[in-house]
Amino acid sequence: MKKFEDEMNTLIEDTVEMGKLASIMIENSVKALSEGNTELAEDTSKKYTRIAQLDSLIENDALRILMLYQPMALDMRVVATILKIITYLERIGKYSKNIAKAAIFLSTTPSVYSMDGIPTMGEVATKMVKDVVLAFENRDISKLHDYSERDSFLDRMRKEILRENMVQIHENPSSVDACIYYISVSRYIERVGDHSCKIAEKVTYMVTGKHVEID
Amino acid sequence: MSSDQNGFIKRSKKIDKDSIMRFVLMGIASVTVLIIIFIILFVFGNSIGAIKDIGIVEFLTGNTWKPSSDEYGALPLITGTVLVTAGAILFALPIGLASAIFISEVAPEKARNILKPISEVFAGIPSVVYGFFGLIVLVPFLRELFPDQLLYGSSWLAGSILLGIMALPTIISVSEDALRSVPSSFREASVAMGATNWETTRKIVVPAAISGISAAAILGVGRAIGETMAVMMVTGNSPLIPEPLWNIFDMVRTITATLALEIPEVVTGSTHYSALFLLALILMIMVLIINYFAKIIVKRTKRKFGESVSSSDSFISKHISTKRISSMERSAGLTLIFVLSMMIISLFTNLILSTVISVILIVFVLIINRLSKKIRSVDKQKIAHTTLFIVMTFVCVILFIIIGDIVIKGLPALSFDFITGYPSNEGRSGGIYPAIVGTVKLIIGTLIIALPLGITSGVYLSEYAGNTRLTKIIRSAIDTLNGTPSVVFGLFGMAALVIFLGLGHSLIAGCVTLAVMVLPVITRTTEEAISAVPKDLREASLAMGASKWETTTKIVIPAAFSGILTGIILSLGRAAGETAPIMFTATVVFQSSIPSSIFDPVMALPYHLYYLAAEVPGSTTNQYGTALVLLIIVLSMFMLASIIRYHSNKNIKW
Amino acid sequence: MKDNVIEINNLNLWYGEKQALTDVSFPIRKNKISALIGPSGCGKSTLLRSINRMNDLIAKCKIEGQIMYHEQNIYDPNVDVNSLRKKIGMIFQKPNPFPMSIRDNITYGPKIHGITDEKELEKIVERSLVQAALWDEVGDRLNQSALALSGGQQQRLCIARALSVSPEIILMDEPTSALDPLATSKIEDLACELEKEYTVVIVTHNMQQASRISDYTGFMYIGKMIEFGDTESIFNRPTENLTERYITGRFG
Repeated sequence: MKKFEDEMNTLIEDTVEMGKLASIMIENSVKALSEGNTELAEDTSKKYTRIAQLDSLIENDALRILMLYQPMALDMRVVATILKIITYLERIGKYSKNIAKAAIFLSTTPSVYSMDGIPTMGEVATKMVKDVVLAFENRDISKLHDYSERDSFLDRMRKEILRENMVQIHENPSSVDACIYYISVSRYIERVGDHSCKIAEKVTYMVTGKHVEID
Repeated sequence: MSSDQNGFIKRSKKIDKDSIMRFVLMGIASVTVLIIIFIILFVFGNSIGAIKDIGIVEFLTGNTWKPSSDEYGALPLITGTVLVTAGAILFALPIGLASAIFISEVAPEKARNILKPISEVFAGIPSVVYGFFGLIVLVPFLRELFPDQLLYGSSWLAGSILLGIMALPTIISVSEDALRSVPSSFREASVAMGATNWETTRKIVVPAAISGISAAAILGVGRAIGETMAVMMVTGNSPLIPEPLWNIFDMVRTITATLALEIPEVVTGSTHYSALFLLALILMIMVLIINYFAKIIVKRTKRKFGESVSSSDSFISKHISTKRISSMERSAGLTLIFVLSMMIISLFTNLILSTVISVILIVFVLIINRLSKKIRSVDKQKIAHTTLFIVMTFVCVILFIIIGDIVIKGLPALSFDFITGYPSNEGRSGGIYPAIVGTVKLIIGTLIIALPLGITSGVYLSEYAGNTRLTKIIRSAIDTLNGTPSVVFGLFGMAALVIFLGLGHSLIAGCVTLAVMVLPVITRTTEEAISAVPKDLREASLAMGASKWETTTKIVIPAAFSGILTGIILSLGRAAGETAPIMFTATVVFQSSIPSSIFDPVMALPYHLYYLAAEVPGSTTNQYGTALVLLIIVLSMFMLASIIRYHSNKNIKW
Repeated sequence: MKDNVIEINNLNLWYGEKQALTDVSFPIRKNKISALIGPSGCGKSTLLRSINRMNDLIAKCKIEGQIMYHEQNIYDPNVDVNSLRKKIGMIFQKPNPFPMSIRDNITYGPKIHGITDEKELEKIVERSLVQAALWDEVGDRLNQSALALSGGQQQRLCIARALSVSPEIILMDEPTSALDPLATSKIEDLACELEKEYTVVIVTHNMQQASRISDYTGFMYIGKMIEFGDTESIFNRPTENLTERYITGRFG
């Protein structure tokens, strides 16, 4: 029992680390973009290596636990949940890296117009990631009840940014490069929100044993 | 020589202790075996003379046994033994089986805990006490019951009844064990199909235990064949074949009685002497055959229940269906009933009336059979259980009558003077002090000789001897001697110790004879007690690096201790109560002082009782007193053994 | 290799005519738990009992090959088998405490091997019971009969008894098959504790037990060692088809 429990604890700790890393990455990448901070962007981009590493490591350990210990009930749900959410966390990390790369490019071009939308989106998405990681760590789903709404908000914002940027491109064809980046970034952030919803679904399953859908 | 770190290289100088002990034990066990072989050869050797002089065929088929006229036809004696035994089993088997079924299947737990010890108490009563009871109570009773048929009362019938009572405990005990060892899964499966308890008992349990029950019957037969004192006192001892053969009211004589009666007068080396040994040999051969059959049957039982549970299903489905008795079996059964009733009734009345009554009996049986099909199973069970209860009560009543009679009539005789005084007036008055002392001395002497030999041999056989052919032969020899009638030991003791070695009638001759008699028992019970210690205790000890000798002495023997002790106490109880072995080797009828040397003869309680009952009219009070004292001594030893066994069973749960 | 406390080389064993072990070779590594798994009758118990020469007790048993312990073949005629068994202890499937007090059970071994000093014996009793995770439960009633303990406690007592003579290696022959799940779990945790100081070899018919606690696993089938390796590889990707079929429950 003890051997098993030790390995489970390590697995959970690693997953929490990965989750916190992901939330830092999304937070910092958007920050780097809105502040034009290329250093922060570089730093954030590099963090992806660690997330990819954790993804492999945790997957290995989780499979090992399944194979050697045949966990039941909550233990089993924890391992199954971890196997799924690390995939989503890795994606979040990838999108964050992409946002950081966009930040580096956009720092060289003059700002076209004030992009309030993106930092706002970034805040919401970051909170979604942080909350869901906390929910996983504490096994407490009380903060997950409004993810549907938050995700809808991100969706609306993305459409708004798309419309604004299309207008921009028509009015000012030379800004097309920057605008395309802005459109991409908004898409990335919206995806981060989507994935957070998916993680929230899995964490809810882990805690309650029931499958839910968050649109 | 030895490496410090590893320490498991043998030092070449250290001698292997296990091998030494094995050798020593083998040596001591060999003494036991040699004694046994010696006895067998002695009996055989001394009977050769008769074989040569008389001829085996003539001996076995001759009709007249009259040594005074040089006629040695042993047929009447062999017939006597067979008839008395057959009658005894006929009486004891149904009653014993019914009691065993009652104890095992019907009686509630509390009743069982009382009834089992009661039947074991039966086994402890010495045969001379049974004989005494038979002579004083049973024979006159029969004389009252059948005044026309029985002039004197002593008869085949009396012998069979008494012998039957004596065989009851063996049959009850072994049958009950056989019934209990039927796996409960059999019973459960049957009841789960809707059968009543009685149906389950009748159709499943008893057939499943039939091997063990047969073994019980056979062991009962063995006990009966070897009985001496009791038959001697109630069969009349007339060496004639009954006329007609089934006339239970005729007097008969058994082989054992012949030995007991004629040994004192026989001349050493004469044809008569040799003929007696030949009789003893025949007796031993009969016992050998019986043991052989019992062993085969026991082996078959073990094999049958070693099989998996799946076989129980096929067994049950085979047996629980309403078995139609084939018509051939029916007619055979009816014929048998008819013939038997003809035989018995014709002893009382003429031929025509017997035929009429027998026919009525057959009709009666058929009607009952027809009616029984109409009775519901539940009622059948009530009838059956009630019948069993009645039988069990009957058995208990017999026991209480026997013991009660002796206690009631013996108590008045008991007094301080009786216990501490010397006999006077040929034993009619005075005390039995020398007899008590003599019995105690015999017990102690037997203990001293038999204990070390027996236990060592038992340890050797169970722990050190392999499963070679030699070991099997040794075990057969021990078993043969185990079943040998005590009178044969008396014969041996007299010829070899009293006469040949010139010890004369002496305490030492009696002790050696008794020791030799109980040696096989102690060896066997020790061996079984040790074998019963589970293998994994030995493995646990050896796996820790203990040697075999250490394992045997520190683990196995202590664990088997109570079993060994019980065996010893039971043997000693038997030794205390036996008459035949000491009659010809150690006892005299009267002593005025306690002897000081072991070469002097002694008085003993069993022999004193026999002497008073058979030879001294008018000594009834003291007879009862002697019987009571003997009973107290022997029964307390049996109870001690029971208590030890019960106490240890509580503590040790393997 | 220095890490190997025992090396089994080409071990062959016959019971009379029947060959029970064929060409078995594998190492037992120090301070690790090695498990032997396989279907009934595959020879795993026979193999285990060869390591402390308990098979010597069976008359018709013949052995070829070597079991090297401290660079010495234990089947060499010079070897004192009683000393060997002091170094290699054994726990059996059915708990078999002696019908004596708890204390006497544990002092039996040391006394056999020459320790008589009362104080030292008391220390050994306490140490053994502590190591077997039984001291808390029975430390105040050492005079009580060992048979009064529950099955799981009896088995831990047997472990304490084996530890009392300070062995190097502990052989366990299906030690939990007669126990309930809770007692089983305690024994498994105990084994994991013991491997810090001792080397453990365990035979089990429950392969999940092997996957839970062992570092190395050997799969046996009809007297042969089919595959032996570290537990994770064996259960993740066995190299032999037979092993895979057994582990996935396709037979056995």
